[in-house]
Amino acid sequence: MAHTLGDFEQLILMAMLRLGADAYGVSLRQEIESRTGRTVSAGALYTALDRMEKRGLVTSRLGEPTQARGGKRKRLYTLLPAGERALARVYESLRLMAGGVGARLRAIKE
Amino acid sequence: MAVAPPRLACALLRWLLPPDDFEAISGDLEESLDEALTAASNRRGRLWYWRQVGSILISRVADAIRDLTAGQPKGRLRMGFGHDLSYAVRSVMKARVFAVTTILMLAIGIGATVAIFSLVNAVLLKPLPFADPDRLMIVHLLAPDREAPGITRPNIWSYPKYQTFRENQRAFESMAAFGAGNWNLTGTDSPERLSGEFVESSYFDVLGIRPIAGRTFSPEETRTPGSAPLAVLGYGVWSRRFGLDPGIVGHSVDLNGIPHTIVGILPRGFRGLTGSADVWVPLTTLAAEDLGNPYDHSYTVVARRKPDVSAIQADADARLVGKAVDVRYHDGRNPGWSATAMALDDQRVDPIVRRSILLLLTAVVSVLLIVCLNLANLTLFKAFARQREVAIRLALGASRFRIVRQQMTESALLGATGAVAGVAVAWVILRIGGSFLPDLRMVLSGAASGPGRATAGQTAGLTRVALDYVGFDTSTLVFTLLTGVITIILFGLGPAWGGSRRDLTAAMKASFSGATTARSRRIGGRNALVVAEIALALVLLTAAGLMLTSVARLQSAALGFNPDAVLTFRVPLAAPRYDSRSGAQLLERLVNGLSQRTGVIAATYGSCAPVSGGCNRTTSKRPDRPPADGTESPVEVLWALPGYFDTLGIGVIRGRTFTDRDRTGQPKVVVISETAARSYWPGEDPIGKRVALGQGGFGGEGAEIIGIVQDVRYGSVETSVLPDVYLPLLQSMRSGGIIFVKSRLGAAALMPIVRQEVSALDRDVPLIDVRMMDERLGDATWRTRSSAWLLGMFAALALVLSALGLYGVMSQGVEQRRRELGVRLALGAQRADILRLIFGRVLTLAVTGIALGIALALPAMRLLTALLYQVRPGDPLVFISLSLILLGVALLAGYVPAKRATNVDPLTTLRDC
Repeated sequence: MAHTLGDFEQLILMAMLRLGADAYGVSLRQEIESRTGRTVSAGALYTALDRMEKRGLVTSRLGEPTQARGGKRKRLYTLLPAGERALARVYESLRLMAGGVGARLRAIKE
Repeated sequence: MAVAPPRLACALLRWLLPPDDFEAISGDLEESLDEALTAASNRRGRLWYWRQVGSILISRVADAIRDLTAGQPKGRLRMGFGHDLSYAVRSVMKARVFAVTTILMLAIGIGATVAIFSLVNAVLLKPLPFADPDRLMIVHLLAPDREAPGITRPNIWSYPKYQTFRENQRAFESMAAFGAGNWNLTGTDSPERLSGEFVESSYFDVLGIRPIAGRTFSPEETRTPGSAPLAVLGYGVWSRRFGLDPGIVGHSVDLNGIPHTIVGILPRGFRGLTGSADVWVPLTTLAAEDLGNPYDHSYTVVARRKPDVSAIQADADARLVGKAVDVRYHDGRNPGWSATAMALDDQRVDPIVRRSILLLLTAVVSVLLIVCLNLANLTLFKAFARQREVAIRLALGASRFRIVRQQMTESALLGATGAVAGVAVAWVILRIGGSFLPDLRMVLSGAASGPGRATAGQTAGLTRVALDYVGFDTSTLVFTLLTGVITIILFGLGPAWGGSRRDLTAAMKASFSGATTARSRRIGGRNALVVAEIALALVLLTAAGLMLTSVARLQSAALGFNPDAVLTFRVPLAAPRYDSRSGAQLLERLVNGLSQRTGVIAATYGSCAPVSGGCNRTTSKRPDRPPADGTESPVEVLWALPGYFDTLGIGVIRGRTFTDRDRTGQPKVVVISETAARSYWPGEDPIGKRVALGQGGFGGEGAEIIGIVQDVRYGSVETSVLPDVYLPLLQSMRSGGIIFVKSRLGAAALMPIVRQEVSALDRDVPLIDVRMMDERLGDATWRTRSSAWLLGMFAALALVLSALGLYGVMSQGVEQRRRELGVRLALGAQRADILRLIFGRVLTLAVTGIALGIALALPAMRLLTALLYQVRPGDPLVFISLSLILLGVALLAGYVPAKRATNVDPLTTLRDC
């Protein structure tokens, strides 16, 4: 694959892995914001999801309408095998490179 | 939903995204808005929503640019931008005339558009300034139309019917009845007339208005009719009369001579749903016999629907419960009453006002479009001049995108400067407009309370509520930004794209030799721009022409009365101090006193002023007709003192008018208008016939018709007259109405005399609504006049701009054909032939544009119908004369370049190349 995953894309895919069947705009945003403490802009999130869908990493479908959102349907996202593989590859290389330096990394204060 | 998403942001999002994406993303945003901001304020929620939409907009644009530049190495792109900008600045500075022209045109176009938009925004778009306004609804009764079975009309409520409704409904969490009222504030140095509202205690909660001092009414205080007199004051009267003294709470003020205890003060800017209230008094201070009458329909009902009930469900519930009300208060003669609920927001503007504002917006956007077309033309010309440079750069390997981007940077620079200047222009326009038209509110409300009065109920003031908010806000700024961006794309992108065509050899050749296909294609594009400009200008011209014709017809309309040198005013004679009898007596004494004064030609009384939006209406019967034929006919009724017709110059057609002898105890008499005579006694002489009326104690056997007078326009100048019946005040007493004083003295000299006479009779009575009759007439025609003049200005602007466009295209065309023309002349062509050649081109462009314009205008003008007076939207005279004017101006604009073409010297042009 020509493209590697961007930093933000990795976070989104990771969040999707965690959320499973309930991954959509609001839940993804909350998952990333609550776990990493960084603010996620709506524009960046939807654009990244669009791009990854075009690249065949994720797929989406419209769910059932719910009362809480003014009767509007959710767009639910699912990881595709290509996305899972890309995420696994990134994680694997990061894990391999981080071998033995974990303690030092954690000790670095921002 | 805790916070409603801002509508404009939502519309922007809808425009930006495909439908599925819009549904999912706006759903996400609404969900987050709910969760995160339940506790936060409305304002912050809106801001948050705007930020989200902004970030989505930016990402989309950035994404699109990234797609476009996919082939570009990253570093070069970034570096290139600074380079482009400095190139753009240099190039703008070099062509200063072009830059100044562009910026000026844009400033005027964008400025006018933004100014009109901020009016649209305030009156039509911006949410009403109440808590959670989306859930507010107006509930009306639905009354069956007696003349048209099956048709129902919205109607205001009687208190008992409303109580029944409130007890049975389930769709609303709270509701309140209110009605407009007027009070004389007395017991102080200068009596003042206050507008206000009778309200239920729940009124303030329904709207979400909290007092800034004290409290509002409690349900306990207002349980039963005849409750204690309390009052809540508005900020305006609090600051004007009581110097913002918070200690006033708990004290009492005299309203109509009765002491009312002030319990609270409301925040600044809140004027109630009537839009002009200064004081609020509990509905239950009214007497039980008034409030308890189930057929006294006097109150409007505002309600807040429950969060989980949609507007449609609320209306369905209202219709159901309305049936129950009908069962309880059955109207045998007119069965089938019901009720309906409508969003408060939909009630805010009178349809005519809405239409004229939208018309102005369309007109001003068309002007902006013409500006863009003109600028596209200019830019195209520049691109043409730069063609050789561009061709060389393309030949050296520059990408088309790179060239387009560079030229767009220049357009964007000009466009952004123009937009900023436009905001300044808009600000100036709004400031000048605001001070120039102080009575804008009154006129708009006057319009809103005209024909639609019964429907609009007492919420007609909402237009006024909204007008307080004309000005710049986020929506206006976003609109300006969008207008700027669209403008830049319109005038910049086309030329830049066309100017960078990869047709290298042709472009290189073109710049060295003469006619080529590339050039003629470009000329073709520019011709199309000019044709579009002329067509748009014609559409604007016809709209303005039709409106101005209406104004001319309005001004020459037969009013039926003479408005010159007549001062008008009211003296509010309020109960319980005055009843109809003592009121009428005071009015007669006042008129007699005024008539004796030197300088006064005549003084009189009438119940209703001409062009005031209409008078009392009732039904009439002809007692001498058999019952089958004696159907009730609608008439307008007016009360008058004897001198009325003379003072107002209303001509007597036949018979006599009232005299001092037509008093109580004498045979009852009436005077009717021409239209009444024609409609109800066609082909016979009504004088001596009898007519019975539903008002004024003239029912039963009725009264004898003693005279026929000219029709007077009591409604408005634009609307047709109704059949009028005049009653003598001395036979049918009432205390309300208008005093008319005809005098050669100006208002300034006359006012002290009037004050003296009034206070001699009662020093506690204020003078209100003091205006010269011709001012009233001016106000009545103001809306039509002002929209016509604004349209006229826009149309004139369009005419000048399109003439400039044509001139530009023709003179550049001549410039480029110099050599060809020189050759023709050298080969023996006559100068007249050349003139014909160029003029033929002008004529073709102008006629094509005009034909296109007529084709567009004919269907478009039908939208104007409601705004026109005695002129048809397809009026051939207007169309033909304006087409000829436009043709004339176009030929004039083409004459100079054509003339120049005949002056081409064959020798020099041939030598030049």
